Amino acid sequence: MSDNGSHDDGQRSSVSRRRFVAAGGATGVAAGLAGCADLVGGGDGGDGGDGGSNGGDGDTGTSTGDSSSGSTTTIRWGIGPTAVQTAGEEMKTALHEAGGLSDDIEIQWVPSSQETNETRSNYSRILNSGQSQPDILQMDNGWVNIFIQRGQIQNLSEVLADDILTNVDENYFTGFTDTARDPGSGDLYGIPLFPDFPQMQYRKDLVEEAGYDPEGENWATEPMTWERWSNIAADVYDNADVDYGFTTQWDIYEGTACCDFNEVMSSWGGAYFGGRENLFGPVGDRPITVNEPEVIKSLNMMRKFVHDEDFGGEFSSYGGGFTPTDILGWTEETSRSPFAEGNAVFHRNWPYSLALTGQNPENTENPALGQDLGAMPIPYAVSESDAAQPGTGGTTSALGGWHLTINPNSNNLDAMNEVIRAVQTDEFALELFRLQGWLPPRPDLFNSDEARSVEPVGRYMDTLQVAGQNAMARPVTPVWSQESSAIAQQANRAVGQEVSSADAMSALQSNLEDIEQG
Amino acid sequence: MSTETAGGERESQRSGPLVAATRWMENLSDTTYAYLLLSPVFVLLGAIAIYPLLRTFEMSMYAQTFTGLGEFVALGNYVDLFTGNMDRYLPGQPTFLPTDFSLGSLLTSALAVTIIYAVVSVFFETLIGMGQALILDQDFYGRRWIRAAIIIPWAVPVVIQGMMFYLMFLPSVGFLTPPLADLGLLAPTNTLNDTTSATFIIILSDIWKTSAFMALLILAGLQSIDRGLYDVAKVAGASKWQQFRYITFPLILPTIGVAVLFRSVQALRVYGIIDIVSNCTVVPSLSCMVVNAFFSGFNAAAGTIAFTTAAIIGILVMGIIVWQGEDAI
Repeated sequence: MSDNGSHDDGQRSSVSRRRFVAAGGATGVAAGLAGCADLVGGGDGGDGGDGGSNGGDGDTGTSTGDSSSGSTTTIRWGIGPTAVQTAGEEMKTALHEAGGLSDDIEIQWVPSSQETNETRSNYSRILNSGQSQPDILQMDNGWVNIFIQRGQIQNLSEVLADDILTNVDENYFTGFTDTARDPGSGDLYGIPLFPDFPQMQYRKDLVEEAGYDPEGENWATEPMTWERWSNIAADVYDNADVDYGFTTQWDIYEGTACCDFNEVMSSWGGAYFGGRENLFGPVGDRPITVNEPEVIKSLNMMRKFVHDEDFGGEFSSYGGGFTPTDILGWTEETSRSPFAEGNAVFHRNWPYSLALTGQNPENTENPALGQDLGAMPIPYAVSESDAAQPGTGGTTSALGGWHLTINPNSNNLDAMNEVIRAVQTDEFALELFRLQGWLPPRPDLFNSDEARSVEPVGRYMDTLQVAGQNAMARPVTPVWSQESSAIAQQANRAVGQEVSSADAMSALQSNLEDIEQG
Repeated sequence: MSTETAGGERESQRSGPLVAATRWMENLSDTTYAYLLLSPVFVLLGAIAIYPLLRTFEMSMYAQTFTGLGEFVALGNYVDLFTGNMDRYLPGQPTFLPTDFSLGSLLTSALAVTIIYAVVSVFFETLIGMGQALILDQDFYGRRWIRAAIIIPWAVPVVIQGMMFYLMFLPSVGFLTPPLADLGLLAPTNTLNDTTSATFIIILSDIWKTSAFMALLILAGLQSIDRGLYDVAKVAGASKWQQFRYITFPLILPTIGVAVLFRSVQALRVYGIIDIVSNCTVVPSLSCMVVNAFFSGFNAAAGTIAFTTAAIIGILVMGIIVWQGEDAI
């Protein structure tokens, strides 16, 4: 009985084991076939790059293409999503037509994030894991240095043709190009694509209705004081039918630390690390100067703008209360949209906003202001000569801008010379200026009549030049990303009235000391 | 007897590696065979879980510098973490351990925030979940529909859940900020960048989402209670409260234990909802710190915090298992 039972068991189990192996084998074969079919399909399609496994597919596509018919190399270019949305196709056309890029090379945009820090994380992940795509990474000048220090991006001095490198050496903005060089060896790691200087943008029509004369008073080139500006802003805000007097960015993010707060602070004569000469180090051996009266005053001024707080009469001559608390959660695009819809008087942003907001409203589906858009340098509180920290004071625009860096693991390094040459042409640079408001990275072109005649950004060329002359780089060192989170957080807390500006800055002081010396 | 011989003959006619392998497989004992079938899982787990785990641990034993990994320091990073020397690799203000026991300081400490979040959210989820389960256990018209409805929040993906609460509390857009700010529960402006308010909102959203999960688990426990026990209790004149106190509660306690275990492990790993509703700098959970450090390229710091988090979760699980005995798992 028991013998019989075990025998039965064995019989049953042996059948099921065989079946199991057979079924497993069949599944494996089916899965394998499906996988191959997918791979073959991707190769045939030519641009089979929309799936996750585009690494392998892309390779097959190019190599079969090479051996047989007309070959196409696809260069994948990591770029900001706003740029792709507004003029992705136009930029491709411009590369081929204006830049003279041959049709054998196809450009594919790989949109990253709207937010610079997320883009950095994203690229950091891609480069850490040695992925071969995107081939070109468009990097914020604020963190190219970090990737250079880690040895994660291609040394262009080694792979690009001499004429390209000489062109960069001789013709580009030196200060801006330096953010793409290894400070030690001087080797180039990025091709400057465009420098970026923010300015104060405004509704010219509202300001004129309120009785001001921007043209006559030369607002476009002569910076005004924050005091005068705030009275104008408050006045126009009170008399116009808009929800906001001033929209800007003050969220806890990189932009506040590198740029918004940096500009306000510098215009008061303050600096993070004791003036211009210490911007890039030496980490640990430079003074930390955030807990200083000029920095605290600059934050108090922002509080005046937002909450109409008086600080014992210190800001009684300033206008206040015209800025929404929403700025504490706003970044570039969130603050631009009310302005572009005509719902704000003043707006601080980068030139891309001039290109989008300055379009003729009749020619675009997106909200725009057209000729009603005005621009002026960012106001200031103390002049250069009265500034507490050397090299600060006066109107200050944060130095932004992006470089093209090359993924060292790219399989298309041989096509790079051609792509970069197309990027370097005058025609392409001017197209970018027209489409995106991306300023030409070379002084000869930046100051040229051709640039001035580019609509709509060319209208604001005078202001952009003033901003460019007063640009303040962010203090990028390997510790900057940690420092900038701390700075943004404390600046946000102070303007949000969670703590006093003095308390926020003393907390920041010890925070930065920990990071620098730790 | 004769059939077996015939079978043997038939098999011996074929040979080759496949047949040999099949024969070897068929002759394995049941236990060995089970391990054989499990081996792909072990290989897979080894490749995608155990190897990265060991590699992370190895990485956490190298000194962290701002430009990459330094020399081998064994457990030095763990010492640094608990003495505050690792705080410079955390984004912004957050520290690992609280500097004192004020609320402000607790909420800027990654460890304290994580524990506060887990304890508060799991406590309320258990309470609400039990209430829901007790109601759902009753017989009433439309019970099936209510059961389905109650589980909906749990089916909402974290990103959608995050967006809902983000929009509900976004200053000047969200409708919930003004009334709750009037009650003094939230900051009226800059709500989502305010540590206390954001922590409150994130706990609230987690309670909203996962109470249903608790309710389902506890309901399962309730349904397994022998209804006869209540008849006996009624005959003995027990009040509703006594029935709950002496029959229901002791019998669902093991289920609650399991539910609390699952939820606590999940709550200690909170990341997604924070990233969407607020910001890792504002609500610094442990997982947030790991992700942030890793994305900034501080692999050793990320590994150290990740391992510490795992250890804390491990200790907690042990605690619950000891409390619940063998029933817990």
